[in-house]
Amino acid sequence: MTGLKGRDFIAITDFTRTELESIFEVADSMRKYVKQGLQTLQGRILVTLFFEPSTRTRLSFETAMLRLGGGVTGFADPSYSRVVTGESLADTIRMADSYGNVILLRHKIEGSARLAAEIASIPVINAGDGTQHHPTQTLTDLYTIRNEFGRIDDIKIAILGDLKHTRSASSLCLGLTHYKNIQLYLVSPSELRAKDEVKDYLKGKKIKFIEIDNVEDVIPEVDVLYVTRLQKERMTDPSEYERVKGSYFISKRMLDRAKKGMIVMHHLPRIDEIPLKIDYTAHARYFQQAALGLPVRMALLSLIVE
Amino acid sequence: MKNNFFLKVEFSRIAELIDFLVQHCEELRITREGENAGIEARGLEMDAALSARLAILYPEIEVNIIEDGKRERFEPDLPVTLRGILNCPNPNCVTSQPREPALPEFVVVSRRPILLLCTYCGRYLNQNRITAELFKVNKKVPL
Repeated sequence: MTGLKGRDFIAITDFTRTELESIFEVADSMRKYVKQGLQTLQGRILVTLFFEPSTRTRLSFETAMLRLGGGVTGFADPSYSRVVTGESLADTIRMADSYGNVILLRHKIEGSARLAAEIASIPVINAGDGTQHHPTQTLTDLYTIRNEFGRIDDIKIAILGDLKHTRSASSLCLGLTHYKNIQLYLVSPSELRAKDEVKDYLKGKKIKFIEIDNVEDVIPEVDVLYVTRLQKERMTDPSEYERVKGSYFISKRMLDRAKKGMIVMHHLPRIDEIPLKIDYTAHARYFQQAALGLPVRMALLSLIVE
Repeated sequence: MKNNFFLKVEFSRIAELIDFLVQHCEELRITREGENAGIEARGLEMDAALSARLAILYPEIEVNIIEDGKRERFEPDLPVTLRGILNCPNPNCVTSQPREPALPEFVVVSRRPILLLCTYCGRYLNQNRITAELFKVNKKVPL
């Protein structure tokens, strides 16, 4: 018994390390079913409410539910729903609550998933709320690291890019606080530093982190280089994007100094920050990372849907 | 319950405080005490919202409750969680959406200096960003 049945998943800190490990163990066992499927959630419905675009999160969750024998309803674009007539999120959630067994919500408004969880009687999974949380991306990220190194403790990791607006980066920082002896490098232009709220949380959990500007300084040291995309759509000031555009990227030459087993991760989609050449190096793991999102989400649904 | 109070605050800071107190008490008398203003507020109901407002906006204020003509020190209480008392200034917070039934809620991270954390959007609210305007919460949500 993991005690996850019926639980919401709003932030990666909602679950304990033991609970995360139980999800990872189930994910291990799900990997052989990602193509053939199971029938463990037959008759259950996943309601996907995507108020913002998504490729991997939505498709992997929908696939996960279908592979588990369940069904899927919802929308990938709110313009096809009554939201366009001004229906509130709360009313939309009340409908989804009566139709399905689990709700997957992505919304640009921060705190939307928490509100949805207060309203719904069925579990709510946060698929991203503004710049705040993206806990299932972090589950996938942590599982990828565990899969690669056999552990998450004692990892040296650099997170590069737009740390201010990227919810996957913030969530990963929070997720790493579950583990021991983490050395974290937060690499970004000064305008895109991680939020104080995130850094204070790291300090409170005694996670060692250093903020730096130049990724090349730490490439030889790290086990994981986690690259993020510049979040143009979340910048309130258009000039902010122009100032920082192209200010960070990695190159094949930079990776020449990396440890042999160092992996490059990215939550995807990428734009210019990882050139195509890196796809063909032994360091690239971002496509495997995206693929591991499927067994992880199968595991999560299996454990929380009643 | 209404009581009589005596408040002491820097003279330069009384205008807004008086403007607010006058709406919540039956009688208000102000005297100058050097650099400070002494405010006697009769028939004032010190509810949770007023108490939190005083504690946050006027961290140096001295508040006394007057009973049988004697002044007794009263500490404006700041609970661990402030719910429905203060708006979140983040326009992208779900509590800032007028049609969503989310009452603004903050956890008190630090009392002096004051630092609050929005339960919904996870953003800090510090002393510099708190203005009297943020206390005008209109939402009454039966959750």
